[in-house]
Amino acid sequence: MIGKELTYQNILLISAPKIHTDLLWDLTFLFVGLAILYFMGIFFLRNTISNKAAKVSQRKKELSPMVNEFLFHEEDSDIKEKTNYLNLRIEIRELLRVDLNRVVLSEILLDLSRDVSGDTKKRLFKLYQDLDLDKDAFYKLKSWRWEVVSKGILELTQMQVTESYSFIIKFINDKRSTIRKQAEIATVTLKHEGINYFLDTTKYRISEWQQLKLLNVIRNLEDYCPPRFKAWLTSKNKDVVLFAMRLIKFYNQNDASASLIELLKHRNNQIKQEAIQCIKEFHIVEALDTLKLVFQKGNMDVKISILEAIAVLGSAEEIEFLKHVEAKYADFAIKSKAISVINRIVPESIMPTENIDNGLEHDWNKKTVSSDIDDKKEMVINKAKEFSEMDKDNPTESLEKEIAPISLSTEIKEETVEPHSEDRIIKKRETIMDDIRIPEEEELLVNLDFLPIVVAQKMGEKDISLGQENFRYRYMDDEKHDIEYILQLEVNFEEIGANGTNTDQIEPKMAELDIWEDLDISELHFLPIVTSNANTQDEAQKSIDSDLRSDIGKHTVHYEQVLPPQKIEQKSNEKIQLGNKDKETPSPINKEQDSKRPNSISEINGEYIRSLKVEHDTLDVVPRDNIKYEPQQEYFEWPLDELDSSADQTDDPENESHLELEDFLKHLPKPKYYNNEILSVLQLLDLIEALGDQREIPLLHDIMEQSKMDFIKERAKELIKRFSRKDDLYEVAWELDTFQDNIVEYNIFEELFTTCDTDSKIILMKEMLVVGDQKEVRFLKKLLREETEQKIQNTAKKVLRQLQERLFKEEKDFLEQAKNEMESKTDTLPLEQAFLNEARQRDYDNSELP
Amino acid sequence: MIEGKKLLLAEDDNLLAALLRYRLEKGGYQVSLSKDGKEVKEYLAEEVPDIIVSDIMMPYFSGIELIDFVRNELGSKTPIIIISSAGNEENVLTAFELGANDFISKPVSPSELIVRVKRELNNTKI
Repeated sequence: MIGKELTYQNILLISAPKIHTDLLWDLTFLFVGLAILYFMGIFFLRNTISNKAAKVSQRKKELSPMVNEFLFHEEDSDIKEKTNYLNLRIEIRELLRVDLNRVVLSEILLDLSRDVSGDTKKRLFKLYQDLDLDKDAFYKLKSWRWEVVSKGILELTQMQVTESYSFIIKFINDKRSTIRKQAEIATVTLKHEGINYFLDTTKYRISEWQQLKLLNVIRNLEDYCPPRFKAWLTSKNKDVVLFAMRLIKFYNQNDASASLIELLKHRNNQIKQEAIQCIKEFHIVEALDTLKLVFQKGNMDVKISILEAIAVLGSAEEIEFLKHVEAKYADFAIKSKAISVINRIVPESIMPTENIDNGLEHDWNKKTVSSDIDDKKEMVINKAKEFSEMDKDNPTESLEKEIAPISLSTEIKEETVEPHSEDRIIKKRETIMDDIRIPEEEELLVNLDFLPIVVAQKMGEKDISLGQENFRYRYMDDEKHDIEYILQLEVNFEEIGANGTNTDQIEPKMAELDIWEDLDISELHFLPIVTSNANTQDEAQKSIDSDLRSDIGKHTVHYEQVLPPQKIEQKSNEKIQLGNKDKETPSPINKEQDSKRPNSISEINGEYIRSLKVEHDTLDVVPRDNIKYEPQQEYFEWPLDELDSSADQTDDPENESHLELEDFLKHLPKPKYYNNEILSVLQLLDLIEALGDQREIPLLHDIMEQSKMDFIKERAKELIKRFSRKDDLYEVAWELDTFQDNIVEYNIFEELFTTCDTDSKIILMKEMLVVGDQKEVRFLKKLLREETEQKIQNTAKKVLRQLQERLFKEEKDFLEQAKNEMESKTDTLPLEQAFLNEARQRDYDNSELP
Repeated sequence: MIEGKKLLLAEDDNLLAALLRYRLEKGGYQVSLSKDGKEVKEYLAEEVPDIIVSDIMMPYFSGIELIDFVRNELGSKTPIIIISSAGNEENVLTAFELGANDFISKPVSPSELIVRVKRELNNTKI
């Protein structure tokens, strides 16, 4: 086509290829065609998808009421509902033959499982499996497409199909990450031990997000008892180790200290960091040395983490290491962290140095220092002057008394000295010394604000002999000399214990007396008086006690008597008065007891309690003669003893009624008196009848042979006959069967069979297998006899066999359970044997009587 | 007496709405279902139910707005039970402030809902 006649003119400036116009048209048509095809394809696809969605939506609307019906169906519903339910089952089975319906039904159940909880959710899971929808999910597991497999796993997990566990765990080490992750979650969800299996077997990485998801699954498991996760700290998979440490931390399993310390040496910095976090969390102080050891090898984050851990776990011993770190590392973050840790262990041991103006100089003569400092200085000087005037004999004490308020006013505050604060004090002193070494007067004055107050201990010594006036004078005039003087002073300081208590020698007696002065003794009347047996007491204590006793004597104390009730039986109105004699009331205790009576509660002992005489309430016994027969009583008592004696009391006005009673008794059959042996055998037979089984047959034969009484033989024979049958319950079942055969029974399946087609009949028969009983067995037998269609006959035969097996198994289980219950009630030793032994013993005892 | 009590169920999720409706009807209530705020408004313009069970998140007209509408515009004291998704604390608090009587979080237990509805109706009677 190229080179043919052109239908357009060439513009010289543009060198376009010579293409025939037809070709262009052809290409145009081609591309337009392709575009149309493309748009048609898209239109078709969109239509298909939306049609399908509409279809699914429509189907959902149709199926959701059915699902609701299934979910809320109750076993004890009436016949109409049952019929409706069975019809629905048949209908749904029919529907499930179509794949779309299966998909829709699965979707409905999956959607609902997210929205409902409680019993409804459980029913939902059951329904999912009842409708065999789990089989579809299992089928999806075999797909080669990862999204289908993943969906299958998700479905099985969401619908709690625990049977799928063994199928899903195979995907834990799948190459495809989506499937793998889904399988991991499924493994942990479906079974409690799933986490163990997962941690044992996984070879791949576990992302942090996945770890969070797994943790979320674990913490939402019901009745979950977590394993000891330290077992996985030895795993070769570093993510397993990491996850195990996170789980250890989450479940507070602090029994893995050694392993965690060992993991500090791990080459992986992430593991190191996680181990440090655990160590910090569980406060494993033993890890401090290892932390210091591994510090150098860790990266920046690890180093920072170690420093943070030291801040939590460390003591003053770590200061040296921290100073070393501070000095050695140039990195700002580490240096700064080290300083902050030092300050955390010993607060304010390192003071701010950056941009602090140390070159502040002040010439006092020029009066350029702030008026604030002047005021403080002046105040100190004035107070010192007052002090020298007040008490020249005991300067130390008076200075202590007087300077204290000044200290507060000049913002010299006492700080609680914490344990391990020696370094801090030393550091502080060094700082002070640094400041003091520069004998600049204004600097000295400024820094003196936080100095402890020092006072001269002895008067008359070289420096102190100058007196307070001199001191003041010197302070004012010769500061440089004074500094040296101050440094050489012996000081009286207040010693503060580690717990912040003042350990100064305070007169104990005085202190305690102060407490007692504030104490209102009347508030103590509820307390028991406790006396010490110790022989030695210091005098101060004695004096306090004597004061206390004198106070106690002034107060009325009410005692509560607590006496052992089993030893002292008293009339309810009887009380023993102790202690306060003024309140004593006359008691039935005689003089002898009175002499033994204790003077205080503490003297009451067992002997005294035993010696007490107690008045009992006596129960009046009504003489037998006074018991009268009252015919109008609702119950009837047999006054046989009375009848014996009534013969002698003919003169009694009630004799008439007795005679009537006698007449009445004459009409009663005379009692038969058996000897003990017969009685025992009868009782034994009663027991055997109630509790026995076929094992008693030999014994019953023995009884038959040995016994001479016909009625006993008859009874034993009857029991043998009864036990010779397979079981009583079989008999009952047989009787029930016979009874049921005789009555016209309603069978819903029979009714449904009249209106169903062949397929529905087969479905119904399968339902019979699930819910059927003897009624259905008979119906199936009838079907076998009467049904002409081969397919139904075959199914009926199969179902009948399976149903009978199921029923037989159920019956067997029931009987075994009943038997076990009976056995548990009876003793292991044959009951009859024990009973006979007892009877024989009784006969033997009776024979020895005269 | 619960039999025949009118209950308005406002829920946009068809499946859940159908399930709850079925369960409530089985429990003896006369249930009217509304799938969005518009339908709720239309229903309420015609009649006032004995109790309202509403989801918080609904198209056009949220559960919060519904409470506001019922309490302030209609001036009705009809008990309102709110269905909210878990972790939606802020909305629940707002709902209570506006006058909701109770709330139940998703996933919903139908049996629990029945009990709550019954309790609210009993409280109203008192």
